[in-house]
Amino acid sequence: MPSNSIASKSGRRTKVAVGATLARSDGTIIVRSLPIQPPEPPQCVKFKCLWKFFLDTLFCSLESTYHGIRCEYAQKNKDKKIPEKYKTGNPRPKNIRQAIIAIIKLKLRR
Amino acid sequence: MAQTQTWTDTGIAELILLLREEAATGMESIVTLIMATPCTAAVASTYADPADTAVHGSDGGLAIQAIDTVGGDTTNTAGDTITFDHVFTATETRNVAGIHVCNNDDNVTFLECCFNAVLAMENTDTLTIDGQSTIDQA
Repeated sequence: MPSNSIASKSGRRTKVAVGATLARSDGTIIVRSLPIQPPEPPQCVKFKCLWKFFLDTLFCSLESTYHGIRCEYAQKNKDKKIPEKYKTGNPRPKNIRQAIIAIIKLKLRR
Repeated sequence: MAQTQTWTDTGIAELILLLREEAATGMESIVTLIMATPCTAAVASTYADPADTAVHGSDGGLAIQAIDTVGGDTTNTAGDTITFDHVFTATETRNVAGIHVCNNDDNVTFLECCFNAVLAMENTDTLTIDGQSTIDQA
């Protein structure tokens, strides 16, 4: 099948990623809002596929929670010295465990 | 709150009009969404009716304006993208919950984005938007 056939194109969709950086007039970053992509839908109905989708969804939810709390925290403390990672969002949690730990650490700081 | 972003139904409809060479314009304007609480981007949002109870910024440096840079990459089927970059500079204190990327006629929203949290902008603060949409993901 030719690579540019209609059939081979089916299933594609558009994706959007927007970064938004709030800064002072001197360029000092207050906070950066980061895009979070939702998990890909499961590709089969086997337990393995469904379990992976469940974990991906859980991670997405935790990461979203983390960035929401992070943005609020960074803005509330914009006049204080806080770790750069809470302003920029990087490095971001890479797995469920890291996301949970990051959320707990942030909540303890608030 | 998750940052949410999506093409809107009306934005895709405008794309179809462009492809059919009917009356339509491309991605050229951007405007902030003003709201006190985080919004959630939705495909059903329109230029006249943004997400949740958000309204377009109308003053304070946050009203609709021409996008600083609209670029693109059509060099391969895996990375065909359109990019847009813009810097808003606030002249008033406003709560910005997201943005709309609009057409040149300022009557259609292509993309809606709602941030992780409401960004409390103060006079002289800047909001730098760097966006990208992958149209073709092989």
